[in-house]
Amino acid sequence: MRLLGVELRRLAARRLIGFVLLGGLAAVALVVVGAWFTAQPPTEAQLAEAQTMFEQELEYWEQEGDQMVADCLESEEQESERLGEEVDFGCDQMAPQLEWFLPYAPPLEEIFTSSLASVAFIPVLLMLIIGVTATAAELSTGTMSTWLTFVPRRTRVVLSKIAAPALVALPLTALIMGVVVGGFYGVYAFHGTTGTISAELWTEVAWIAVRTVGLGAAAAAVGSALGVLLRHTAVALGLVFVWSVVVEQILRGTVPRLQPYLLTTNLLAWVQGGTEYWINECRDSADGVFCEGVEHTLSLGAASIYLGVGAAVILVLATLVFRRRDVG
Amino acid sequence: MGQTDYAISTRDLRKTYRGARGRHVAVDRLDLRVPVGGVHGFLGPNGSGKTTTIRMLLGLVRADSGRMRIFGQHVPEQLPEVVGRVGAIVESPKFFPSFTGRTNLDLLARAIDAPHGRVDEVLEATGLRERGADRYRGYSLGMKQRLAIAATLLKQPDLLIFDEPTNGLDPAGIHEIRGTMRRLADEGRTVLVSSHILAEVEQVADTVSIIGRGRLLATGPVADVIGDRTAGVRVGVAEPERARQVLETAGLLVRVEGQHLMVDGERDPARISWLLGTNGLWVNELAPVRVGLESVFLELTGSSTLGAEGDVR
Ligand SMILES: Nc1ncnc2c1ncn2[C@@H]1O[C@H](COP(=O)(O)OP(=O)(O)O)[C@@H](O)[C@H]1O
Ligand SMILES: [Mg+2]
Repeated sequence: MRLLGVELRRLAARRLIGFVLLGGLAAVALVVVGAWFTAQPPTEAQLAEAQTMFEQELEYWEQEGDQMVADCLESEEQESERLGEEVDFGCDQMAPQLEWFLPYAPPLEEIFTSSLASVAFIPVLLMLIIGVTATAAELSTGTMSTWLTFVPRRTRVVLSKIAAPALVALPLTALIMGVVVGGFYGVYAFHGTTGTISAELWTEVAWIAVRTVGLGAAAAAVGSALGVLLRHTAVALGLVFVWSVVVEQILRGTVPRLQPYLLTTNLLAWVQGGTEYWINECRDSADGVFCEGVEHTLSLGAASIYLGVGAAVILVLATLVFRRRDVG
Repeated sequence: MGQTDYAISTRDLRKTYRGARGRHVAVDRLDLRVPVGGVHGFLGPNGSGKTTTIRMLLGLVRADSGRMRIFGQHVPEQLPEVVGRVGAIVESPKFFPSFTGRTNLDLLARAIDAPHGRVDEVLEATGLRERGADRYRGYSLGMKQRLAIAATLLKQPDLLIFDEPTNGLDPAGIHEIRGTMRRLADEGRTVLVSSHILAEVEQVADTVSIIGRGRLLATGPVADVIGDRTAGVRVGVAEPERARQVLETAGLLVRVEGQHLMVDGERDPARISWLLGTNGLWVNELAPVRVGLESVFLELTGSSTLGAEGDVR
């Protein structure tokens, strides 16, 4: 316990943590500013222009609308017969609407359900960086050998060095997520377009934030374990980047069936509370091979097992390796 | 002597490194004994295994085989019990460059639960009080070395291990470190200091161990091991050729070196001057020539490559 306290002090003394926090806040501030622009209600000029275009379209619709609906219904029927099942071409929604001619401003609800989860990766990535540098810096500068001549119990040393960044990550991630959620809400409140956010949605938002905070702590712990294993910040971060951005994206494209086993899919499922992915399934039919994208769900439960086991393996490996390793 | 009479004792200590070119024996069946009290010089050329031995003693590196004890406790198994009595600087001081000297010490002090105020004491003792608030990055090599010594003193150790502490220091720094080691020994602590330079250690050490290629070559009080190993006596004389005949007749080993004679293996200049004087040869120079560490090694082993540099087995 004393070692953990010392490690927390060490982290607090490192300016890097401050820089990372500032960087994280700057990044999410940018996202919030971006949201401010997209959430802007249409200006008078945009409204007037949209109104004119809408009226022109409406005029055309009044002349040709009936014919267009009839054509639509006919092709819908043909397609349904060909496939042997009901298809919906949306023929009853062809009448022009004013919104079609206005810039799209996603409602806050949509921001909360879709954008929030992707923004959540900013703090998670930053916590990974904090974790990696915490241990890698000590191994590459050799200060670890000084440390071990004071505290030779290696298991305690490595556990305290993994636990400290994880603990620090909790308030940092919470702070960043608070800024994101508060920022999004503030932007819409400023424009007066929050709409009604249901209690369920608020609960969902809260859970996304809580799971992100947990993931931030795990990322910091895994980061410090990777720092222990790989000893150099650049090597560890490079590995994570190459794996998640290059290798997994290539795999996703070439072998879609692997999607539920990819780290990135599981991370998204964890943050969002389950996620959908599509796999093209092909079968032979009378007119040749017929393929369609089938939606699958990766549940929160499955993702938490995947991530939990993965993190545990890395942490145990780092501990075992550190116990045995020659420290230069 | 029982094991506890030694500050450090090793038996059959062995370490091989696995490199790209195969196995490489760094420490080879080393039996090292460092008595309690005084300064013990741990001598050997570069690459002879001094640092590796120290790392094994401190549990930083795993030995392949053999046994080690510090103050009678088996290490690395019982290192947690004994580490509080051991302060060590391995190779070069290693601290966080972006932290101040004080912060670096403070973290170490907290890790061992050192009493409050200990950091100030050791900063004061090493003359770093004024610079404690500066970043370690900006320290001179001498200050880094002093901070490292300050760190070892946090524990109030009974054994101090300094691995080539004067490397890179200027003469004033070297003098200072020597003084520090002497003072620590005089306070009743044991100091183990490694070096590849004989002259650096023989002035301050009470006892020495000499290793080459990871093996112990000689050990004992300084005087016994290297003190008397003068290579010979250099003689300046007006008639070198006649002087040579006189000395050879007396059974001495003589080489002519330009205008001088070298009398190998003779330790007593008085005998030479007497021999020459009684034969009417007047000596204008008579100087015992001490040997360098390399010559001691050569003498001890008859081999010329004792550093393990490029040595692959
Ligand atoms: N980490 C290492 N990996 C491989 N070889 C090493 C390592 N450390 C030291 N050696 C080799 O072991 C031998 C002894 O080195 P060392 O103990 O540092 O000698 P010294 O301190 O006496 O100069 C040298 O040949 C050195 O090259
Ligand atoms: Mg060395």
